[in-house]
Amino acid sequence: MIHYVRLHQRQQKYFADYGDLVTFPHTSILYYEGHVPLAGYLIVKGSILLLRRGKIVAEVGPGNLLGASEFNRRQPSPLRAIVTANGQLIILGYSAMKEIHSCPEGVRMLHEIFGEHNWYWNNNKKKDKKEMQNPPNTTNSNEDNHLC
Amino acid sequence: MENYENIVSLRSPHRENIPGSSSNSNSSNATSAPTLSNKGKLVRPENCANCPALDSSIFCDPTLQKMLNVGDHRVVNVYKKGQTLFVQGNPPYGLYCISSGKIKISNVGPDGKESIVRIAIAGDILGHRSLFTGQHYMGTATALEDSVVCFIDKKFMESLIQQEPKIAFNIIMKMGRDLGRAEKMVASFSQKNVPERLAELLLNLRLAYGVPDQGRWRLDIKLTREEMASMIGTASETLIRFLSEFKDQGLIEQIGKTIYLVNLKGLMDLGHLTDDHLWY
Repeated sequence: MIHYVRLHQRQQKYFADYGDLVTFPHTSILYYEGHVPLAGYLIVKGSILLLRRGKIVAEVGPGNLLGASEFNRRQPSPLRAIVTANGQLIILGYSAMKEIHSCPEGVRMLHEIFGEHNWYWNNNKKKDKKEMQNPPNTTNSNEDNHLC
Repeated sequence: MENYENIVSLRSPHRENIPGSSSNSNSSNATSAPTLSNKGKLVRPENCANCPALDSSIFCDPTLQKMLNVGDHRVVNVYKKGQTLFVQGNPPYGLYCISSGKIKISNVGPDGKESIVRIAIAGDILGHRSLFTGQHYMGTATALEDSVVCFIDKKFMESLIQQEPKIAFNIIMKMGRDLGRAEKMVASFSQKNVPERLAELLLNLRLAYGVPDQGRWRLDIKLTREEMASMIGTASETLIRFLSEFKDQGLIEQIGKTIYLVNLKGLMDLGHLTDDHLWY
């Protein structure tokens, strides 16, 4: 499970067109350990702290996409995510993800970011099986993927 | 393709705790989906049709759900007691729908004093006012007990309302009831003294959370004395004093922290109330 991934400029711009830019004036818990994230979060400004059992395990800065993998699979995260005060995030909810996934370029982008076999759209498992049998010629170019 | 096994683990034993972070650290196995808790009574509905709050939610029409695939768009989480759904002053990006449990919405004043403005139960929605007005959250939502809450994103809600006006009508009805409740509370605050407000509060809590128990009514909600005091705009010491007086007068009983209402008529007379005056 990929918890956060650093995006290239081009990828950030692509996702920014689909999501809503939201500023959090106050520190807030985005999701708790054991919760499914409510959306994917692309950090524009500020940072998100990732905690496990009350201890900070990472501080994720701008350009990173967080929670998308767990959100897409509806799987609970083992980490707690806290957005710091005045953080700006692009929120990629279900509708946004569905739009991204409905166009070939979006799918290509997601495969590019997460790696083809680490990403599948929750509602299209059959379709993804077909795609996996005939994979497009993509490689994961994001070198900063982070697993736990 | 990148070999993910070689990527540095996020585990870092030398990191320190965040000061002021929530003390509710979940030691449960976070890689498994939330399961039953709260003495086995919590139900995490697999789809909207199984929701225990089906009849009282804004999506209460089953044909509506089938048509709109609300279940596909929601994210369901179990919020343990004390966990926060959203924080006062932050912007909304979706709607919360309570499947089971109780959530308190509290407002913190400039002096840091917290007041509970509303308690939401199964079937209620949260964050709708901020979502539709574009304002930030006016209060902080915190689970009073283990609660199952569904989250639906903003874009989908907007398209839902355009597609099906019944949803908008249900939301308007809920907002109308909330407004009525708020107006009654404001009137009580200005017109009544503390014991009268306390009597009114107890009767209103009975309507929403009362459980009959051997000829009396048990309030099935865990509120601290401080929280109850904030709901009627008084200090907790004053609240405790008047609860003792009510007990001496035979209006209520207290067993531990649980309050039982014994003499409903007496409370209604004390609070100058009829059924029309009650909030719920």
